[in-house]
Amino acid sequence: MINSKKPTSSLAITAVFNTAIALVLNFMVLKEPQFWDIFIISQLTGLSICFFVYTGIFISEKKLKKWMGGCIAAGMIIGIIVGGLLSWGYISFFQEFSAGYYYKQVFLKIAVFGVVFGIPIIYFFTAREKLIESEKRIQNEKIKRLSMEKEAAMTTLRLLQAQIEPHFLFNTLSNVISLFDIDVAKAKQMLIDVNEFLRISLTRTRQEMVTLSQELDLVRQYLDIFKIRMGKRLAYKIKNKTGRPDLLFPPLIVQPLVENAIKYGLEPKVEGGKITIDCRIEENVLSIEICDTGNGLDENASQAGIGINNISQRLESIYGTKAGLTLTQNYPSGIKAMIKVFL
Amino acid sequence: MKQVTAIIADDEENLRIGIKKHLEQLWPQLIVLGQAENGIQALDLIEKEKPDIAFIDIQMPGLTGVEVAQKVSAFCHVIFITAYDQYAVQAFESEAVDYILKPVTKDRLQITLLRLKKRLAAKGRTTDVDEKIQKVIQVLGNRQAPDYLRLVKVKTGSDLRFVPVSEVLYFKAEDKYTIVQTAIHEFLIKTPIKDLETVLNPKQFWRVHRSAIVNIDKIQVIKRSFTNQMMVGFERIDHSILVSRSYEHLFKQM
Repeated sequence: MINSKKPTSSLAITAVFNTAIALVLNFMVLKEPQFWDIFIISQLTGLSICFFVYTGIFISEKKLKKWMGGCIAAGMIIGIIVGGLLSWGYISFFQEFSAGYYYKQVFLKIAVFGVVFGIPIIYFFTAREKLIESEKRIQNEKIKRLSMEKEAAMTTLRLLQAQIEPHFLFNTLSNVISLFDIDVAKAKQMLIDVNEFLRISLTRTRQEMVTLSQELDLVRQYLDIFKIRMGKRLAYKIKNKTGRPDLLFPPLIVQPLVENAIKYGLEPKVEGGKITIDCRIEENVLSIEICDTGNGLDENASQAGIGINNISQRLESIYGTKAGLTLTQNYPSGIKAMIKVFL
Repeated sequence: MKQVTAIIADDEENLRIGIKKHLEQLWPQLIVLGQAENGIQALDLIEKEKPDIAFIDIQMPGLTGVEVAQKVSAFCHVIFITAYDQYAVQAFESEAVDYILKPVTKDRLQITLLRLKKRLAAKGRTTDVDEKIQKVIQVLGNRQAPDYLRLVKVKTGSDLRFVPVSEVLYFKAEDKYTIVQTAIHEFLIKTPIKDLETVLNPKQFWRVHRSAIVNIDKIQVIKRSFTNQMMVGFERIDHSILVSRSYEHLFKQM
């Protein structure tokens, strides 16, 4: 009934409510055939109450924040009085004075009905509207923040996709340059690996899906580069037991997890360690397990988490609830990342 | 004249060999006493051999190059090696600390070595090197300002699991534990709510009750109970979280 944003619709709803009161009073309580009089009194009283209550809410919102209840009550009383005066005016103008007593009863009943049913309804609508408003605000806030985050994520994603992480590139190129003085064949091999890695990651920037084996090839390329850089500090094994060479999988899910494993797990660990990637399908569930024996998450947890959140979100946006990523502690050390997809 | 000695510390062997080869050509008289492949080895080596010069990579396992430098710069001239680190380079430049950028090329190394020789000839080292390195450390340290929590460590059976906070619907205190509720799971952790509040991003996680913190991204409905208490409901689960009166304003002032 009361909607501070749309007073006209409030008045319309009130009018309907008044009509209902008039009908109820006329046919069930008074059982008199003076419907139009009762209808008009009902409208005058109801609309007047509604108008003044609305005014009360308006004043309380603008000026007297703490006196909402008081303003509504005051509005109600003024509404009843004004409604009463208007009704009385109507009756004395159009009807003979002797009918006054009878209509006073009608008016009182209307006022009581209006107040008894009106207050809870007003309360219900006001509360509901407040909630809708705060929900809307939450939504807006959420949308604003999400779109900002999305923008940030897109930037990160573009970087991830391009894979030209400066640290990676410069360190790798340093290695190649040094290798030319030490072992030309190895240097050549490394350049080929880098070239291949860059080609694959740059071209797939525009692809939604690749095959899992393509993704694993990229990972192998990436790990080969690190193998030359880290020497005996890095060992790795990639097993694809899915038996489905054409199985589609989104790019840049596995590779960033491997990158995390190297960056936060193995590179900072003095003795290095091993990365194992295991893919299989069991009962229509594809699982990809990426284990490292690195430092674990304790020290760099917050940094490592950035990538993880992106990957989780990416999985969710592609597969909905049909895919998930869990991270657990690997034994004896490091992290086990497990991707599961219901095919 | 006393012979000048040096050590090289880098976790990647090819890079150590590369630098050594360049040094042999550019400064044949320089004696490379040893090489280290991580920060701890580097520190041991420098303390044992007391070289005049230490070429130290910044990113090394064990101890970082900066941490090593902090301990040895009093008696050893440190030259940092870095692949790509704009902040570090800025810091080095402004404090005139010696550094080499990867990929290390002969020409670049030559420039650094000439500068170094001048300093060594000018009767050793300037006295304020420690101070400079301290400043560099400060600059590098500031960059790693504490970040908000992104992964919550939970125990499930015998497994330790890491749950991204973005997946958490709410944290709720329950006896001595805190419930971590996601759309699918419920975990228990020992970190109290008030400690979580300090490490979570306040823009995303709101304290709505003495005993609850909610992820506002996951809120689906805000409703009122029959007793007019505000409640928030979430995606995929059917119970809601009570918002105490003193926190209701959060949802009104957004």
